[in-house]
Amino acid sequence: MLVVLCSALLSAAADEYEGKPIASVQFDPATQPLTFEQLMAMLPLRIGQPLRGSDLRGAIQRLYQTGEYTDIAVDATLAPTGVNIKFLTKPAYFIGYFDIKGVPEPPNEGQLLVATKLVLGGPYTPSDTSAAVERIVDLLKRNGFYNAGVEPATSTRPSTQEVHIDFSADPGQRAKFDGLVANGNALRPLDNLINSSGWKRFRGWFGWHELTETRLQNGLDNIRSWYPKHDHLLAQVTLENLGYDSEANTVTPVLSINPGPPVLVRLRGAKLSAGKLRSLLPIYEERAVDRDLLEEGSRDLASYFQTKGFFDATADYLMATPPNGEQLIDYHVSLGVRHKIVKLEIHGNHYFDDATIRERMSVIPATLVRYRYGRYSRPALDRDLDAIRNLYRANGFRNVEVTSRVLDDYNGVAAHIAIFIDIAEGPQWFVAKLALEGVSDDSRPALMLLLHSTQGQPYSDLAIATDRDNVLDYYFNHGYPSAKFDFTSVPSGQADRVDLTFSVTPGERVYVRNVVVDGLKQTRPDVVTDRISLRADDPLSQSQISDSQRRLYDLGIFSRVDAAIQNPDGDEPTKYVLYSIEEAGRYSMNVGVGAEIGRIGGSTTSLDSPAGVTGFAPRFLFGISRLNFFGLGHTMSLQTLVSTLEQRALLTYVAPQFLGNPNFNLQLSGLIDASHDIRTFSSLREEGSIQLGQKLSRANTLQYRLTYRDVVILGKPLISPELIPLLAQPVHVLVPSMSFIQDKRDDPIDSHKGTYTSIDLALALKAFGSQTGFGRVVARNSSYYQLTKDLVLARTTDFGLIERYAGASEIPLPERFFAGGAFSDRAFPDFQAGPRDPNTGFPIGGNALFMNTVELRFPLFGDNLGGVLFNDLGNVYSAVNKISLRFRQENLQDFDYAVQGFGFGLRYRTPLGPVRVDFSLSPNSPRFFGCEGSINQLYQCGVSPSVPQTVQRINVFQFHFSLGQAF
Amino acid sequence: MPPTPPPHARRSVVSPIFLVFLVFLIPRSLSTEIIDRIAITVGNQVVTESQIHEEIRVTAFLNRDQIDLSGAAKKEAADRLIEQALIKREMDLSRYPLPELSDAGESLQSLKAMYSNEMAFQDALQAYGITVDELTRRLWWQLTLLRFIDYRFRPGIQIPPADVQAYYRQQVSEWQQKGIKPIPTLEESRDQIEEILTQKRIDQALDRWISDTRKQVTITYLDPALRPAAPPAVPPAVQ
Repeated sequence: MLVVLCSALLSAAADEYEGKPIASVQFDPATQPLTFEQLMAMLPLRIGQPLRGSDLRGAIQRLYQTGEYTDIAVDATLAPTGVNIKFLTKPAYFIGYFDIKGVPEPPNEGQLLVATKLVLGGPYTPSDTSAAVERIVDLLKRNGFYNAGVEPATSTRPSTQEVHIDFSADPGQRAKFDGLVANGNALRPLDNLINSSGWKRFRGWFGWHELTETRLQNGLDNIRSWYPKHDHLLAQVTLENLGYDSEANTVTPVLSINPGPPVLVRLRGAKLSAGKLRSLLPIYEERAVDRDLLEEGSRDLASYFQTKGFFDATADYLMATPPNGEQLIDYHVSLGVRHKIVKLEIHGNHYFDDATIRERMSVIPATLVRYRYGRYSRPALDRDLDAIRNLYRANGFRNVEVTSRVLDDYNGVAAHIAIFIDIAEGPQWFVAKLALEGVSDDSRPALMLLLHSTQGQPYSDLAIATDRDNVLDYYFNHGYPSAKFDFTSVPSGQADRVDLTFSVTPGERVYVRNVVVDGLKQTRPDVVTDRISLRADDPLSQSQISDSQRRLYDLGIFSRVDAAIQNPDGDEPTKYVLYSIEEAGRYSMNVGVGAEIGRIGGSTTSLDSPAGVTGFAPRFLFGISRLNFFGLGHTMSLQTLVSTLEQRALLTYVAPQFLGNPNFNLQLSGLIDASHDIRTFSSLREEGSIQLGQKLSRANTLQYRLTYRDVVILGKPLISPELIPLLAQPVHVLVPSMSFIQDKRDDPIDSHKGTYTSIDLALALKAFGSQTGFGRVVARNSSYYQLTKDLVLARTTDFGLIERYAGASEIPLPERFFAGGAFSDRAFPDFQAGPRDPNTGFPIGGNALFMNTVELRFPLFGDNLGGVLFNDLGNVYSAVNKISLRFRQENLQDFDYAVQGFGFGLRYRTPLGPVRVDFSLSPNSPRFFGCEGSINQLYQCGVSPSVPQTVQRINVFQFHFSLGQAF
Repeated sequence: MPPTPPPHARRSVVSPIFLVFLVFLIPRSLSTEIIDRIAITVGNQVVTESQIHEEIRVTAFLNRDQIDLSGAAKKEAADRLIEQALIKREMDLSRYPLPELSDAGESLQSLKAMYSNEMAFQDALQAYGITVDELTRRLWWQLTLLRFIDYRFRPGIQIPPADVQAYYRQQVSEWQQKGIKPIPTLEESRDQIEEILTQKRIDQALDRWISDTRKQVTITYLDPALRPAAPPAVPPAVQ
């Protein structure tokens, strides 16, 4: 009765106020998400205007459409001047931050957050929390946490209408596997199934593994994969239940296994390995046998053999079911003659050259090594013709016609195929006039720079589609999220010309209400806010949101940076931008084990083998980093290396985006290094440096550095005793230096085109306390040329110069140039280039360096194995005026000539870069005098007949293993 | 002497009466009143209480029925408005161009023609508590809906010749039973039959679409009295 009464009252009340002037409009509560002016601007109500029920309804609809309210009522009061209207509102809340703590992996935090199905910035209802808890518990259960409890703690931030949810999990003990039950005819003993599953630890010696979702699934997959290999393609292995025992907290999966009939697949008319056949036929992957899959298998087989040169290959199948219940599938392949694509010619192309068109073709004529028969099939050729047509159409050739002629037995040679591509380009269409409608004068110049379909440019659908994307991107990034784009084109008065009109409807502009950052614990807030470019009242820009997110990730101190717009679907003039941040663990460790193999061997106390012998040096690395030092986003790390050649500890402190500027970084470092990588001496180096890096542009970088270095030669260097006071004195230097780096390579790890240039200038200042004064210049210039799609010519030139001007009479050994090895002149073992001690034959480094390398890089087999032909030329010279490209060594004390290395290398592509092995042959490797004996006989070397000098030579044959290209 | 009721029992009897008195006795000018509020939300659209009232009144006027403000009638009206909100949402998403309000003029004139004169028409409107503006808007909305439904669903309807023949055979049988002569040929009736079948299929497609869309769009009843009754529970099967 009360409801009816209220309804009647509502109706009567509305009628009573209809048409009366609006005296005032108010909002309750007084503090609203939007300002009064913003609210009034969007409502169809004006003070002094008559009140209309339909307008009031429109006002409620408009307010609700902002997404900022969950309930709205309108209250009216009669006043002497009309009706006072008051909107009674209930604010909506949005998800501002949520995290889950207390769960050991797996599942990881990302999986848990995804499982909640909560959306940052999305509307929140209390039921979201309980649903999220259920999903988390379900995920935990699937990962063995059967007794997990999850407690949500929800808090609200009324000022920003945010809800924060912290889920605290008590996962309990993870259940373990405890056996396996197989129902049905498994065809295998139970132990065999258990071994396949991998649920039992090594041979059962250490009990059973813990249950995780991945381990369960992998186990099932492993059990299933046995059957197709044993001709039971249709086997069905399903998990009936996990058989959880709550007392023991264990699971005993119960499987239902139906092996199905044996399915024998045979290949007639061609040979393939069983593994290859299984990888080609979809019936194995799908584990099903039906007409579609069998036909798809026929096509795949034919296509496979076509790529091997059997261009006429066809395949068909026959299926039979003998009385014994087996299924027999016979694939019959008719290979035909093995063909060879001897010619691929393109005719009629004027606008594009052959190379541009061939880049888009998968049909390839025969090559010497990689494609011995070429690559061709009719469908592939048809796709290539389409690609050529699309290329032309994208450039305004709307009437282009592309056809092909395939000639077999070309020039009378059986099975030789020639392919001719005939292109009739037709007229090229151009834009005669472009009109932009709906674009403000402010935006017009910037937009015109983004457009392709401007006056005089080719007219194509692709260009218009690109323009559309560019225009909408521009508007989306300038606060117009609902911008719309339309275009019309009409023939202009001239032939093959069109008049284009782009019409833009920007829609309402949306601004940033404020930026809200959640989740910081250790990090200082200004570290984050300095990197967020958006500020309150800025136009909402998606690109700025994601750029700021990237800058935060680049700090390397956050494991998760989520960015979202609060209330994304709400129609309102301002919006909050949310950044939800998860700080990474403050410590990280890295451990590594490796080895060096090369001519790095030889005793440190023996005069034998100054050019080194084949040796093996194991190396161990350990590092620890402390992230986010002082909450500033800085990182301190200690990296250590221990090998038989070197022991090193490096402490660094890195401040990326120094002082909030993304173009600067600061690095402080301290190094202690005891090494014997240069055969001549062992040294202890203590070094401290400070470096400011400045990124000038995407390609150009400057580094300003100040280094203090103190180097002590350990023990006795293997050089003539009279040189020891000159070259092996302990020395400390203070070196200001500056580097310029220009990197325009397409891929720094495996470059195909571009250039790389670096220049390093250093000056050891006596005035600053250096014991010796010298200047040093080191420069490198590399360039890469893509001759064809797969063929790359690369070259690099290195130049170095040390010039002494004060202090000691000679540049100390540790400051000299030492070169040679995998990343230098490959005619030498590591650090064996340049001048050598006249008595002992050990390298003593030089004051100048010149090296030039040319490489031809090409594919060998498949996509991953490549080859390299190279020529390395150069040396380390005693002085800059001694640099010479002379081929011959004049005498056994002459090392100022260019040592040549010719060689061949293999490259195997990996995600870390190519694994490299190089073989070098040097026809003019240096000869020199050397002694044989212990270090105690150093004084007798070349003097006493008991330690005679012998003529030795750097081995003409060298090999190098390493990771990454030589340059 | 009757026993004195406990204090809480007295309150429970007196309070409602007192409240009703207050409602009627307090001068209107001094009271504040809720004149409209959200009753249901459909995605980002709302159905207000005044909208439900208007729907009931205008529908009653068009059907020349009594105004029924019972709970069941409100539920029915609310359900119709939810369906219209779903269609309106689809119109917005597909950027469907809306007709002019003046397009409803013809329908309004037809409606007026059913009354003896303008005065009778105005009296009828007043009796139902609606204005000409409200009626015009309703007629315009009806027109918009019909045009949109046709635009949205007709292109997907194909009438196979076999269906036309089957319908024709059924019609012939009915005409024969009724003794109608001469019976038109299939070719003479084809266009008419195709249109009848098309309209039927459009209705079916609309019903399916509304049913699917209801599941995709969040519908919240802020006034619980408007919530549709839950479907009767299916009794468990007897083993």
